[in-house]
Amino acid sequence: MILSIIIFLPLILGLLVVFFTTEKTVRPVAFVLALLQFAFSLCLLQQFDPSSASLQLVERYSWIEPFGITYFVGIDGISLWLVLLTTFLTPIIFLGSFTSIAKNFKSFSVHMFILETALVGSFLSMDAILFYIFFEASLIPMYFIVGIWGGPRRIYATIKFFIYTMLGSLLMLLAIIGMMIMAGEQLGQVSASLLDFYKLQIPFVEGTLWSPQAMMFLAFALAFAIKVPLFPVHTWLPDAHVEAPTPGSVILAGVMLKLGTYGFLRFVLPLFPEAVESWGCWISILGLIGIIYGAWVAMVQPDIKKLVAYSSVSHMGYVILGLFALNIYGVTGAYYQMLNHGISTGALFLLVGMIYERTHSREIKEYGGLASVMPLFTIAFFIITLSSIAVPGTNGFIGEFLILMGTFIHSPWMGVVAATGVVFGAVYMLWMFKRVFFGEAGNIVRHHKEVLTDLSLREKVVLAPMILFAIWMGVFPQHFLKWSKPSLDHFIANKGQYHLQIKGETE
Amino acid sequence: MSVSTGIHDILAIFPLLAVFFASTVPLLIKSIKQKEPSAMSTLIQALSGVGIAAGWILISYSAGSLSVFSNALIIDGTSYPSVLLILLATGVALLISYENVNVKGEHFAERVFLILNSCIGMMTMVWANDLLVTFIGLEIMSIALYLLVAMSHEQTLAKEAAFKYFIMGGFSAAVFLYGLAFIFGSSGVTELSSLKSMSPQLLANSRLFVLGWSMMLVGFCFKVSIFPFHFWTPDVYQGAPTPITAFMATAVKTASFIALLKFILSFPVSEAPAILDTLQWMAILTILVGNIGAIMQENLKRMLAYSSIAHSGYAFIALIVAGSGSGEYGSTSLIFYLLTYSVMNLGAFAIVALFEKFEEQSLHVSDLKGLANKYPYLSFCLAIFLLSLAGIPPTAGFFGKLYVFSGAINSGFIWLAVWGVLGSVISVYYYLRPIVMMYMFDDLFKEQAQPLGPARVAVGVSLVLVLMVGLLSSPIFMAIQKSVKLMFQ
Repeated sequence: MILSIIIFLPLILGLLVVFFTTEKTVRPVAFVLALLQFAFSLCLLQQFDPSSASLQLVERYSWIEPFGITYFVGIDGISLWLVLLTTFLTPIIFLGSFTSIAKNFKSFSVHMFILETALVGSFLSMDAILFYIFFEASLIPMYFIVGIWGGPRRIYATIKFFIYTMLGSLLMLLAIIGMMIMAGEQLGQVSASLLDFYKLQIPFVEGTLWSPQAMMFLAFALAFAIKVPLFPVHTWLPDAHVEAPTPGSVILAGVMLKLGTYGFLRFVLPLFPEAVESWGCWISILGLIGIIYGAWVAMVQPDIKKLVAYSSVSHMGYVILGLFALNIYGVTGAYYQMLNHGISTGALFLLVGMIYERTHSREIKEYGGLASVMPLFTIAFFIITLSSIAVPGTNGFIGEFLILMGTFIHSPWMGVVAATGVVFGAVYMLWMFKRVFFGEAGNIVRHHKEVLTDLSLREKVVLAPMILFAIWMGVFPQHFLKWSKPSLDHFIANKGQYHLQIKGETE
Repeated sequence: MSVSTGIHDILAIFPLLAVFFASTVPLLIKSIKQKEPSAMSTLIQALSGVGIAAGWILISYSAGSLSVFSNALIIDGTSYPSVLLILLATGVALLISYENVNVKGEHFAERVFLILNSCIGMMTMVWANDLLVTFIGLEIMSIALYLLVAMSHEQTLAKEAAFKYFIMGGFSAAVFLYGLAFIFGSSGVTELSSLKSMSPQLLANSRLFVLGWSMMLVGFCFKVSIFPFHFWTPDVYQGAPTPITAFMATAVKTASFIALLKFILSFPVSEAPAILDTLQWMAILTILVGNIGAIMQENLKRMLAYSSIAHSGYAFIALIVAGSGSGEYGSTSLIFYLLTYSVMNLGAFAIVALFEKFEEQSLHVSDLKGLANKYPYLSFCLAIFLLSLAGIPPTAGFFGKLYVFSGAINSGFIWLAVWGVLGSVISVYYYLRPIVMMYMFDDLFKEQAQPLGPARVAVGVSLVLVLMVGLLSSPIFMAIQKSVKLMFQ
């Protein structure tokens, strides 16, 4: 029951908000409810058995019998932290948007709760169609959040985001249907369960894209590549991020992009081993291009938020690179980097939002000398910057180090190129930091000093947990990784014939 | 040949008689009283006729295949769910018609009479086992529709629509009959069940038969607006009074598709590769033409008209699947698709009807600006209908498409499914535009919604159905499948 409660509780909380709050009371109420949901989701840590690689806390009910589609949810070491990341970020986002969402907060909080349900549902579904439904359903609230509360070009951005994602995911739907039919042929029963999909032998012919496995691989990879986003299908991301309101950017960067990399880890790598073997290097190369290209483009952005958005492209490139290195270092690092990126980029968007609320400007050249008027803000921004550029002692270091190690083992030249990306990453972040916080006092500091008040208590509460986790995850990675290690080990040990068991059931 | 009509024939077509009697009651009352009867009582009389017919079908569901009037009609497995769907669509269309701007309290009894008689034609079509009876049903349905389109008080678009529909309809009926003559000439029969056993041999030996079959197919394709016979659809749907558009887009389309299904099942499509290829191209082009055409539309009704062309294309995929071997699955997914398509379209048209003030005024997409600020519930419903039309889970539209595409992939029509989803991606753009207008602007909506209870009921019924068919798609799909199985035993 616990997983279903975690999935659907936000939906119920959303209904509570609709019926029992007013525009005046909704802010604290929504925050407290989201906090309750987070507290409840922590029960997972108590129920979850970290020593097992199998699927736990499974619930399975028949749903659409003729097609073998079931309501099938379960959790393993891979989905565990992504679920917790989602429930952790939601209350922070609520608290962080008290002032940035000026109108219709009630409606906003309903969308956020629906989004939380859809995201948690995607991470926990073990049935491909159920996953698809949650995956698609997450678009709708995001579409409204960007479209209603976004910036001036919000409508262009939100429609672009929606159509881009739909394109990929509909082709994936066809591939899912194909696999369901294949399950009927090979296992004697049509099924949409992932565990059954893992057992399939999908025909593959070396060197051609016209074999079923290669085509399904392409369909899945496109859907998730758009979501990650991988170069060259990343173009919706800068638009969506720049136009989205701060909370929208945080959930988009923090959790929604992880749906793409999670999809690679859960679907693409285990389902199509031969296709990954022969075509995977191209995805790695796209990831590599993303790292360098994202960093270069970020370097020349005049807009802080756009800079952070392009840094996402770069960081997610590392995750892809690590996943497709297909060894324990790369995959562990990629997994860890998913969480790190959620924390550090989420925090960066929150910080950018805080300064934007004060000055209504995100132009780097308008700032300068901010450190002198907002010391606390500067310190917070600095710590998160360090985490983003992977300085030892922060979470980013562990992730990127493992990814680079895995990449070097997999392919040394890719490792070299990726390592230069780390340097570029440091360059654009630190250069931006220098231009905004130090140097000669800029336009805003000189003329509008009165608006530049330092962090308020609420903002301190928003940032404190993010900074805490950035350092905690950097100093004690074992506290987190030990929960996922059996699953990741199992994943690498069985690549080629991946299978997953339900805990307590023996084959 | 002896013609004997027994009581069991009458009982079997009782739903048809019930609808017919219900259609005459308001007219009789009007002629006796010499004045317009109250619209509400007319509506209740009509709905009770439809309700009795639907109830009868639900009761006789288990009777299995019935052959009545010397095999002229066969009440078989496909007809139970499809007649129910036709009656549902008719009922909702009646609700939307009540006090609609196009009615203005005049001639409501006549309209109801025509709508219900059109419904009788549809039932005849769905049950027909003889191609001549199919034609009679088609004509009863169509003639009532020509009148209904022309009865609008609006002077230019509606008249143009009625005239266009009439001329094109007459032309297609002629092609249909001409084809029928060839079929009769080459085979000597018009009964579908006899044709079914003869057609493999005829296909090999008689070119005349293939010509006749293709001409009849053209006649059907005109009715369900398949490319390249779709050109009348946008003009007629736009010009017709909105309740009638809703009626045409749902009930008429369902009946024509089911008649077409029976027609296609009588012919071994998979043995004629040229015809199979042609059908596939027609489906793909219908999807593309409908979706690309809809992108450019400002007028909401016209946009929905193009979207209905695209949806015909998706239903056509299910039809091809049914025709090429997997008849049972194809028919089931076709009926399920028509069900999802009908409920979401009825809802969308009901909302359009609520915001029409004059017959001349047509609702544009940009008119919807700020609707959500003033009418949150109606906007929510319209948003759900549009998302469902776009096929976003977990609404009904998604499951309709899922089942159709599963059938296509299972039968090996992978490219058909790929084109289908590409069309869906295009469609997202125009289905989202009204939502953008409703929700993402701060302007206040200027118009007032009409205070029409029944039309609001229609919206509510459609909303419940869209959500229910979405979440409970499995039991509904299985019920249809169980019924369709009767036909293939």
